[in-house]
Amino acid sequence: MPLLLDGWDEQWTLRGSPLLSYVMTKPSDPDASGPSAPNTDAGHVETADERHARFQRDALQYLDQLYAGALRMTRNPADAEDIVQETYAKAYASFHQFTPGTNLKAWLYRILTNTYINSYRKKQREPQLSDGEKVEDWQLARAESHTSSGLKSAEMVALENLPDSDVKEALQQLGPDFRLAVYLADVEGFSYKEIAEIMGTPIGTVMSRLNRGRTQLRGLLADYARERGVKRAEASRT
Amino acid sequence: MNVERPAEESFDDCEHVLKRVYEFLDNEIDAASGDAIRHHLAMCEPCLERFDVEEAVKSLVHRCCGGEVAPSHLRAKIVTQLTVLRRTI
Repeated sequence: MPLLLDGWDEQWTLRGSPLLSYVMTKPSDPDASGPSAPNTDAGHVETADERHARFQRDALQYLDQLYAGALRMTRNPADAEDIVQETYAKAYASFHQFTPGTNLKAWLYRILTNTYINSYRKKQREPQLSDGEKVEDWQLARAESHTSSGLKSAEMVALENLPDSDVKEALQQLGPDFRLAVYLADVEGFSYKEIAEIMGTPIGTVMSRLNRGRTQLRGLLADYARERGVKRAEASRT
Repeated sequence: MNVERPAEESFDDCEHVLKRVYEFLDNEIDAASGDAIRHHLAMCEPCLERFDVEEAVKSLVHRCCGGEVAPSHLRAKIVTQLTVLRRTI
């Protein structure tokens, strides 16, 4: 079991762990009220058993969300399960460093993201995250061509009627950095600052990943919408 | 996000509005710039159209790309793992 934690402390320290001093930027976020303080009683120091119970209560509630996030990262259930399990082991081991009242979900996502990056660096099965910066220029060019959005109003209707599977597939085609930034912003609703903390990058990098990721995504979705539109038109002629 | 911008920042031209369309959409823009962009969108159909598309894509992703439930065996594995860690840490 300790194997899981090898290298964790070093890596965590090296990266300067901004999450240890994480300050919530959105106090109105309902998630922020979730985790409770470790000691309501001023003089009481939390016992190991109490911390264990608090972790079970506060951290496990995000299991489904972390699993869905891990699925977007790894693109397959077996790897997603592995990194989620490893994430919980690491989070448990460093839970004493988590500042109660700050954003626990973002803290867990940060660990998940690091776990994912490390596991793929080891396995070398996918390009490293930074390789995702390469955008297909033809895609950008096409998305920006003709009308301002590259979509006509009929295609907008088709877009909104796309099945979930098409949208998921389009997101899966983005490079890992773009995919994660878009996922964290649009599905999880994290702020730019939170995404920057989770991905360990400056806010400017988050913005450029969102920009390019969404541009690519828009192009892909427009293609799907057109294909489905053409198929529908053909079907109605026969 | 509170990036310092010149006070005279103008949202008259489309290029400038479109450059900040994501910040606007993501609620990452200061109130004054937000008002200026809303004002521009009300006057400019191509920009409004573009904004609608971006908004549609964002809500599609929100609707379609999350919501998976972790398999029950994963939850069981993690709970067991935590119990083991509790004894060793």
